[in-house]
Amino acid sequence: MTTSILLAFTAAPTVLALCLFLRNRLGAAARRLAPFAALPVVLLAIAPLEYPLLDLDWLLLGARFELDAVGWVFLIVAAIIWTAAGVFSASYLDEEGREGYFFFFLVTMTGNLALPLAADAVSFYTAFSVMTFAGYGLILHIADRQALRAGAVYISLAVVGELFIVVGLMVAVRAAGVLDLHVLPSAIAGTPQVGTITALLLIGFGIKAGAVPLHVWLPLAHPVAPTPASAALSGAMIKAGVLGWLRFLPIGDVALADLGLVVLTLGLTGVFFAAAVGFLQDNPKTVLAYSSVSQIGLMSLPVGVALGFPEAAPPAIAAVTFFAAHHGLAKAALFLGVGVSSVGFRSRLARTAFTAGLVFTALTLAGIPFTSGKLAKSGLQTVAHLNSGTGSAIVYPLITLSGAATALLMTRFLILVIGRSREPERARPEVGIWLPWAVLVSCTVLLPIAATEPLQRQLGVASSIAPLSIAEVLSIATELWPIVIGIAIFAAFGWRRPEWVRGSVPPDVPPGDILYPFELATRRLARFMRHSQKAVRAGRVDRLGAALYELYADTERGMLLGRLEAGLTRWAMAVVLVLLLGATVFLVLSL
Amino acid sequence: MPLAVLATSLLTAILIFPLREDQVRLRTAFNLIGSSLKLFLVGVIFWGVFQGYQFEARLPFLDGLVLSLRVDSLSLLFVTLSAILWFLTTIYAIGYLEGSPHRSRFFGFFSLCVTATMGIALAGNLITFFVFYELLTVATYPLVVHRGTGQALAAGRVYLIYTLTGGTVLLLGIAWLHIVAGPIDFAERTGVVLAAATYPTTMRLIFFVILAGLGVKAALVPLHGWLPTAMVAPAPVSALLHAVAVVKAGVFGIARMVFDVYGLETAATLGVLQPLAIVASITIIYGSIRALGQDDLKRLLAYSTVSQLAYIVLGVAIVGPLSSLGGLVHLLHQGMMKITLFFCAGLIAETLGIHRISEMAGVGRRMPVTMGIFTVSAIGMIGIPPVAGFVTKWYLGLGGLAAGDRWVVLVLAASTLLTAVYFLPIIASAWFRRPADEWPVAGRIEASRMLLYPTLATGLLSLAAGVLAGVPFSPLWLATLVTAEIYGP
Repeated sequence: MTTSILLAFTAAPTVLALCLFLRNRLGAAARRLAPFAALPVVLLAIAPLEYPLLDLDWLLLGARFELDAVGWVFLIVAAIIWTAAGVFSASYLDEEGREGYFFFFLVTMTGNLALPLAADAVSFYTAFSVMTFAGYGLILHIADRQALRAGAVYISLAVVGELFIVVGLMVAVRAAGVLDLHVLPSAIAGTPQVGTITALLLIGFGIKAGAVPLHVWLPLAHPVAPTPASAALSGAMIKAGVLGWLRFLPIGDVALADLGLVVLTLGLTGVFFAAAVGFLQDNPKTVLAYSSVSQIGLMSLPVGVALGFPEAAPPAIAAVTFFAAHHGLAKAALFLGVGVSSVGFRSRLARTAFTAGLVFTALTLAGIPFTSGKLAKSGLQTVAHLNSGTGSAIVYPLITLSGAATALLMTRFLILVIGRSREPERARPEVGIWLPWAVLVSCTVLLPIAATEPLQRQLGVASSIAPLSIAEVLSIATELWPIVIGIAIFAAFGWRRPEWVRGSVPPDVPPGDILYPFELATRRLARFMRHSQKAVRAGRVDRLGAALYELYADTERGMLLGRLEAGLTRWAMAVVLVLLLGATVFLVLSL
Repeated sequence: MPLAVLATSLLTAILIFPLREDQVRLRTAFNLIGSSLKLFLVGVIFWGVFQGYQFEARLPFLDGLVLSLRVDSLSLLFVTLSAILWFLTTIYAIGYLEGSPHRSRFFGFFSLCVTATMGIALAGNLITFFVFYELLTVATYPLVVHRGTGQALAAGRVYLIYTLTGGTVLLLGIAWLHIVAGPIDFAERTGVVLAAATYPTTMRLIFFVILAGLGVKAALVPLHGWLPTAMVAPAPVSALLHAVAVVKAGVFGIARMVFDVYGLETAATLGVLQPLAIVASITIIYGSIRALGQDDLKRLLAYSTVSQLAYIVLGVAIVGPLSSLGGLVHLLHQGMMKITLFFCAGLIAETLGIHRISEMAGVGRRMPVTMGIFTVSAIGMIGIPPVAGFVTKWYLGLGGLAAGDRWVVLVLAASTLLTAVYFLPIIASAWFRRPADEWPVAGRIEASRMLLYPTLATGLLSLAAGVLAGVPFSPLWLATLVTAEIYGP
């Protein structure tokens, strides 16, 4: 009963979305309610209720819903973020195109909120698809050139991701013979195709999560979507990929050392690669998108460890879940912060309060002591200790060092936002603008207080909230060194290139980094296809050669104009960087 | 009872032909009464079958041959689809052709078409099937060339050449089968089983001859050429052609051949199913690739039909309850989704005069309901849940894996990708690009109710078939019944 109520409130936003367009009182009511559509889910999730298994034979291919501990964390965080983003949107957006925006907003939300509830493979995949395809509308909302390009990249990768997932699920369900998510992972573990299935699902969900090297859509899509939509995308939606990993991968049931190693390598590569490319960017939202890619790298580490060492699975799941919650709240707060700063402030006090909140959230992400970031990182480190195999010596220090990477990104972000907020678009921020931001910041502050004890219980480490001794204060001070390193790198780089700090030159590596060569090649190939098609249709097969020459000449012209050359150096840096980093990490890990 | 189902539309045709052009009300009344009555009768048959009644009618035909109409679960599947979609298309067609000439002729042949389709669905033996199959060819021709333009007449010629040749080949195959295995009754397979054991090579040859005959209407590559040409027909005709009538007759025939004439076991032993599956796979991919380059919306939809029909054939050709289920359920799903897409194409063409995809920028903002329905159906075609197409893809994939044919999954994946590549840009452009210039007509936002409501109904059916797949009387449920009958207890 409780589960059906929760499910009904999860599905309600879609009904609301359809009513938005009505030109009567119902439509007006829907438009007023739309920003708060996720609020009932927040309340139901907070309420001390159980949500037991609900069997709906008539829905899809026999749907099952349930809310377990992991799902609960994902649900409540997503619902808080969507509520904050909804309220923010209501004040932030222009009147024009508002209904269209909220339509996609609400449908995406439905998919996202139904996901943690889904207890069978088909319902999960359905919710996932609804979210993915409705999210396309959010990215395209502004509908300028950039948005259309970002949308094209997003949807291409999304469709490929869906393919990997559906093929993975088909093979899994066929081999395992069940749809039920309680038993599917362990059933997958017992099949001969376990490696194939795991690889397919890692890739399929990895695209949504934004794991390197499948992350290219993220730095393009997040800046073009309206700010509150970016907050929901980066805070809640990419976590769906992480949840997919947790729900389907056979972690804890079988040791897949090779795949585990690949995940660890790509994860660590992503952490530092995304930081290196991200801090070059000149748009604060792009910087945040790269930060998300970097953080997803961290979130994939426990998954990698647990794939290799089944006994590490329970703490790994706890660590990933907490990390996802921490990152979701902090990242959504940072995105909304970009929006708040663009609106401007009423007083110096307001500006100071905002800056303090923004800096705190940024530091939280970098993992300073007493924040959820620190707690999340200690979770990762606990799991890293369980990695008793190859390369165990390197994972732990690299997790610590990731603080430097995050600090680098966050310094860049803060300078861009605070530098920008001097030119407000609107003079008076409304409650609907700053309140959702403040709520998210408060949630970030409160998270460690609420979650330390249960997390440590899950991780199996002794809880110690002892009063501060001098030794501990000293140790805290020493924990800050990665952050100091990050800021120092930034300062060194900025001292050499002040015009870059001001953001007056384009970034050395364009957003989308390793996508660039692919795009270039695709465009050239498409032109070649058009020419050759024309030649064939005209019956002039001899013209095929001409088309081929055209392709060559085109490339040549590009070279001469220096366009391609400039492009080459720009993306070559990204590619070399990702390859070098990956190779190094892999070598060290497999020593 | 099966005769009554046929009679409702035959009578409608007979009553409509002599009407004068201006007797609009009378014609509309006949049309609606006829199709409603048929819907009701199908409901009765449905109820009757569940009460355990056997419906059968037999008429002596040429010496030794009998025309037989019988209801089994496979015919129930097809009859239900036809009755529902025909009812909605009748309403749409009345709205669509309002004020245009030769409506009595149109609706007369329209009703004849239904009669033929119902005959095909209810045929109890191969001869009956063939008679109605040919009647369908003849009754459809005037609909294809209805507009009477040069292009329409040319398309009609192509249509006739293809289908009549196909029909001749089919007749040849059927006659040969009669010689080798005796009269073919769908409920009785001993003759074929015996013949297959005695003359396996001949029986293989016959299978492919009949398949070649049926493959024309089913638009299997390389016999699909007529279908993209025939899209010059008026929108409701195209919609029916692609969803229920002609192409489905071909596919239904293939299903009958495999399930009821040869039987899965015999067909599998003869080794004729593997080639059929390969042809279907090639058709799936080829149709999708051809759809990619099209700029004419209806042409693109036509190539999409080529591809989607082959899903059904693929499901039929792979032995195993899951594959058969996937194929049979797509018989319904493809019908609902494709008829919706053609309805939408018709609405857009009628209201805005747009036929080309390159002109569709901004259509979503101009006709949101139509484009919303189009979007849902297109997403279903790609096979994304919760729309109907996903259910098909899921069972076809599982069925392929169950039969040990892993390549099926790859074919499905490739087709999904291609379908996404040709549908998603249309959707994105319709909703998010700005139109090149202002729309020609300012008046109504959407098309008239007569046109919009049937479209909405089929669109909702496509969505419901996926979301509510687990409900009794859903397409999946129906197809499960048929599969259960094929594979026995």
